[in-house]
Amino acid sequence: MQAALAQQAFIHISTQDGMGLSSNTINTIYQDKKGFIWVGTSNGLQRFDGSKFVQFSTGLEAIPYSSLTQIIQLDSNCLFLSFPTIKEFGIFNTSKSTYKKVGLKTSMELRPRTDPFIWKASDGELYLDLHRYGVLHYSKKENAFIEDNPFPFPKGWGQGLYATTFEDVVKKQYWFSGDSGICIYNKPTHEVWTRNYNPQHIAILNNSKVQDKITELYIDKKRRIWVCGWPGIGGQVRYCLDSNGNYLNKDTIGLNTGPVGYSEYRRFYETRKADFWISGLGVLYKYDKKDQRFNYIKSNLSIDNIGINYDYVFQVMEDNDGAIWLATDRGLYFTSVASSSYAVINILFDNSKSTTSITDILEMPNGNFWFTSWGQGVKSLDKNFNTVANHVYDQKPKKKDSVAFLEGVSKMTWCMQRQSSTGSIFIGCNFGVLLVHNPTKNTTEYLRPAIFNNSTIRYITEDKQGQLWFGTQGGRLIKYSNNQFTLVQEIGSIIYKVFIDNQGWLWLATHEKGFFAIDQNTGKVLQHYTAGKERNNLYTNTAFDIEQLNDSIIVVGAGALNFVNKKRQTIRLLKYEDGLPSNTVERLRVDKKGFLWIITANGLSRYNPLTNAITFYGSKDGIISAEQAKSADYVSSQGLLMFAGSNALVVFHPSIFANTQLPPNVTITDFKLFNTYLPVDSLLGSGAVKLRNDQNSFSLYYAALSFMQHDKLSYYYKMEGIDKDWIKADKSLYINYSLLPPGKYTFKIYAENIEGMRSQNITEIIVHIKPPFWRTYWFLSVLLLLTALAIYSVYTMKVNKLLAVEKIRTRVARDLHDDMGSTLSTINILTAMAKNKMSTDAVRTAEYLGKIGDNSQRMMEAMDDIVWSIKPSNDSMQKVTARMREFATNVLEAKDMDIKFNIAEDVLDIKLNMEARRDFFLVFKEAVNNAAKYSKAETVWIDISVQNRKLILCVKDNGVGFTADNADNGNGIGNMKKRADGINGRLDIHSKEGEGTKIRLSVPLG
Amino acid sequence: MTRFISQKLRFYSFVCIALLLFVHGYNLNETYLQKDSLVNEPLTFTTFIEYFLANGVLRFRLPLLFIISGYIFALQDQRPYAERIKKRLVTLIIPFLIWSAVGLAITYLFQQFPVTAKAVKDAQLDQLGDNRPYNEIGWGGILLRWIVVPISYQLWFIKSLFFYNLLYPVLKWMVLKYPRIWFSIVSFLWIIGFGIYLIEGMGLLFFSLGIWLCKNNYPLDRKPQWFSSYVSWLFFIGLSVIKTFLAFELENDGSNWHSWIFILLYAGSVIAGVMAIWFSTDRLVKWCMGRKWFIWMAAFAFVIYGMHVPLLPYAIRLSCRYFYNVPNYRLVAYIMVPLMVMFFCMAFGALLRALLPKVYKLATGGRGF
Repeated sequence: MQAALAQQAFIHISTQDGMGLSSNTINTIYQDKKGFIWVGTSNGLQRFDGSKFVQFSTGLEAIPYSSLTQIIQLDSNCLFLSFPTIKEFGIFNTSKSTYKKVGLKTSMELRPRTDPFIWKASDGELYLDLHRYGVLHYSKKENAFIEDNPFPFPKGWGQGLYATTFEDVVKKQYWFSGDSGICIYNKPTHEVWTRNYNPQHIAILNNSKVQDKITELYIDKKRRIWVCGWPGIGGQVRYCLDSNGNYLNKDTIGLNTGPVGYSEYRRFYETRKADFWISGLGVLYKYDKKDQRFNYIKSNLSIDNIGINYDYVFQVMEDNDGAIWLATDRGLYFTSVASSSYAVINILFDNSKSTTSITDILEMPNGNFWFTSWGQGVKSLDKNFNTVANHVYDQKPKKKDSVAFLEGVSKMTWCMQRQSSTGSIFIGCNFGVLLVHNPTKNTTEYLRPAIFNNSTIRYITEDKQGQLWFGTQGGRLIKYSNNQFTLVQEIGSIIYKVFIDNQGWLWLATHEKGFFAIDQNTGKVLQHYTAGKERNNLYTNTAFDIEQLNDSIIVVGAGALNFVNKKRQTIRLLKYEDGLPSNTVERLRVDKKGFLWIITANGLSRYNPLTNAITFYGSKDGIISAEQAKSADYVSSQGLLMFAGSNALVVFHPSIFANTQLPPNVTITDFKLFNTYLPVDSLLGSGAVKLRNDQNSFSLYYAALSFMQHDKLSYYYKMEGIDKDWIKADKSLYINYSLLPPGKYTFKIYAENIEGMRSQNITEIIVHIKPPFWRTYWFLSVLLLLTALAIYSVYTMKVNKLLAVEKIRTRVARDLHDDMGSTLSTINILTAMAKNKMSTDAVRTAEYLGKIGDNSQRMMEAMDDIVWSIKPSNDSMQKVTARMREFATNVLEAKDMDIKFNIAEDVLDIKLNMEARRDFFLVFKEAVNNAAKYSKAETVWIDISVQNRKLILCVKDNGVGFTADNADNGNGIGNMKKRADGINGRLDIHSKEGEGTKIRLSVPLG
Repeated sequence: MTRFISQKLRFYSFVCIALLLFVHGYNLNETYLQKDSLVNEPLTFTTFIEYFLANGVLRFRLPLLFIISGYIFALQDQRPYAERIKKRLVTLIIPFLIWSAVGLAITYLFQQFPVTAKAVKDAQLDQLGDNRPYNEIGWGGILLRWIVVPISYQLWFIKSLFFYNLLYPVLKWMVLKYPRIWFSIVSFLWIIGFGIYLIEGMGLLFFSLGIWLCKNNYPLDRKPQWFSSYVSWLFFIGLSVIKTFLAFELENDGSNWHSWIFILLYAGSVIAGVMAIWFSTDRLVKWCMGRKWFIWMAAFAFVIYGMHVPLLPYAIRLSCRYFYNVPNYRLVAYIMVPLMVMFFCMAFGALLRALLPKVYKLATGGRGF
């Protein structure tokens, strides 16, 4: 049995993985505080979120698609980038996705091969080492590297500089390497020490082997000085010295087992746990603290899929979880700590000459492990998994037996069981051959009981009573008790496994015959489950393995996982569709905590009966080729789980996968609007993603940026505003939202690991889809306000109209009462008086009748005025002036007075309302009447005009005039004033005795 | 001044102060609402109500209080100026010093216990932004907070009022001599939000308006012919609703165009609100002022005014922290906590008045006896 302990497993990410890596030449890697891995490739800058690479090369100043060799954090938002092939440097703002070039101001022209190396000092200053030129300093003010470094190099020393400055933070020193050896700048004293000026007597400066052409320098946490150089033609020299100049040869054990041929040590790297890595051209070493030596790490062909291949390892980086990332010229590699500490033991067997097919495992009382194998017989490993001898075959078959046959068949071992009462090992083989080995006496019996019917013994187990049970290829269940074999049941097909549950029932996993429960006392079939389309059927009739979860549930690996409730005789299936990695379950084993470990065609998984969750474990977890370990399983007395099969053995303690770390907070990695990725940092920085109402379909990409836990996390999300409850996300790491109605939404997400622990914080992002303005509440409020105003206006108009009608009715009633009522009363009285005097006094009667006639006439005129004023057809000023002219003519001509009636043209355009028209006319009438009655004038002038938006009526005569004393203050002038007031007009009366009278009415318009 | 006008002035003095608690008692994420503040949280019934009241309809209070103050001060022209200022020292400045000290004492007391100390820290009331315990800020810091930047920040009003009282002769001269020019200037200052320490546009405008109303014998007890209750209430409530919705729907894009919209809505709402409140609530005023319990409560208006901050913000923080699992706890806290603080202040005032009447008189400037 030639076993090889597999080195730690490396996950390889390349351009062919479909994750978007732009080049397999990875020059540099950097992890930011959020956990994103930034990658500098030969095609520029990319960001990796665990599932995809995003290329950054947009903006006004685009990031070049050129070889990016250094990524250095400038501040929390900015990365400093170096593109040496095009001699370009730049600053990339990750939150704004903007790029700004950085200048390079040198006083001399750069020589060819002036390789740049940027380094950031602990005080935050950036420096640029230019090979064969010198050190430049980054000036923020000028946004350029300029020649103002503070290092007082000896004359000419800088030109021989190699681009690998190291800062000794402990002693506040900068160590430069170059053609002239080592140069140390001591910051506290601002001195530079070289081999020519060494006031502190630093041993390494005086070391004769490190005087010239030093290329690499590194001081590790143990204060060991690692020096590489090219002093001559012998290739690179490498030294490890202490501060006194002593060579630490013990500390470099293993380094000489590296590559044959040309190689360069270029980088030294220490992890937080002080794991030490050396990388470079053809070189990758890791110091093994346990073995106290360096291991050279490079894959060999047999374990190619989990190893690392490279010509050049450019950088080693430890991420936030302690996992190691390697930038190589063959792609990006990732390796977990679990595998590096050998918490998982992967033993792979060289199958170049013969196949090692392990069929069963048994732990011996001394801690050794025995393995049955088909073709190679029983093999043994000690508890440290080193090969040890066993004595199973020391004793040969007896001569009376078919020696050759038995010797051959006894190597075709399938199963074994230790009889607890005797300590003997029963080993089942092909053709019904059974070996009974006594490990104390090292004797072996070669049996071939007839009851096995020459059929291969596929499984042996022991019950609580110490009885052994055998299952055969031919389908026989045989009991061995009291040194006698008994046929208990004849199934008729291969019995792969015989399992005895805690109630003592025997469960048989068979080939195409289903799954049986047998009463061990009577041998009767208690329960039998087969495949079928109905409920409570197995997934398939062929079952390979059986385990018991609790008193009721027996789990069977028959295609999928079949959970048989033996009390209810029901079966629940857990299939690929439900999260099982494959519907080909090969092995099952329950660990001491009750978790069910499963080997399927797709490797190792764990089933948690409490959460019904399946967790996959692969090479990222240190599990290599578990899919090969499908023939045997075992739990050791120490709790180690063991799975074995064709050329593979996987051993681990389940507790190493117990996760005590909280899952990291989930990061929103991308926001895709329709088909366009938006700069997510910028969106998140603004507090909310604000979208127009037509930008309502988008995808949110997320990830918990822990590459160790990545595959074992479940995500739960909720879009507040849509979802009422948390939703478990699928494995796609993005959520699509389509045609969301306008509104403010809060997307919340958290991660949960397999232990049920949740991220410390729930990640939130506010998405605001703005509604069109006509669907906003404020706009609806404005509409409501305007509507209320409109309703109020309509209401007010209606009320005003009613009031106007009311006013007219009141006015007409008042006019009728005032003008007619009193006149009719007078007529009535006069009529009565005339009646009384009619027979006695004809003169008085005639007088009365005359007065009755005058009153009637006046009443008719008043009536005419009222009707005229109400009539809508008289609304125009033409009608008003025509009536005025008619009235004046009738009245004044009857008195032989001349009339000068003048109406301005613009008067005719004026509109007066009914009341104003009437009052205006009545003032005029009164004025004309007065002129006719009292003025004794020869001529009366009547002017109607418009002045300053006022309607002016002027009635003037050249009559006798009057004074205030003799003026009639009765109804005449008083009425005129009252009516003038009624239309907000002003009445001016000018009169003097002998000088005529002028009455002027001014009525404001509109 | 008629008896009813006098009643009305007392009624609104108390109502404006009682409503002040709802202005200072909101629990929105935005902790300092200005007239053009936007709200960066979802629009819910609770958030709408809080903004609508605290930064919408209740904005009429201060203008009305300034009008009342200007009107009352102008009524007392027959007294010598010096005497009036001396009286104002007693009725404004001494109460200012007392209630500022009370605010400091309450805060100091709260800082002594971890639970309440957290409430003090969360409330972030300190106008200098230094919310450290008073043990750490020293006597200089205490003095500064007592006189210049009180933790009871609402006291700026009486300090400002005292300043306008000092300026009264100038204001009166401007109001009566050049009313159009003066009101144009102070209206502009109000609209643009002018303010330098104690002089600010709103106070100048509405204090001056109070003087003008008094000196012109404006018939405050008679509804003007042109006044429409319906329209004024419509604009008062409508503009406040529009402003509230806008506050939730607009976003600060860096420009300040939205500020001008908000200022116009605010100004329209305040003007409509002051008129609606003054001219159309006579029946309510008569009913309330006819109730003994209301008169009794109104007597403690100044105690409520002087004491509610910092008590109210601390109580709000504590209630939100301890009752967050009560359904609609934010709304419940917004309604209940101010009421509880108001009743507490009244109870405190009643006790003080009963036990230490002289101290009460000094602390309230003689109000409420």
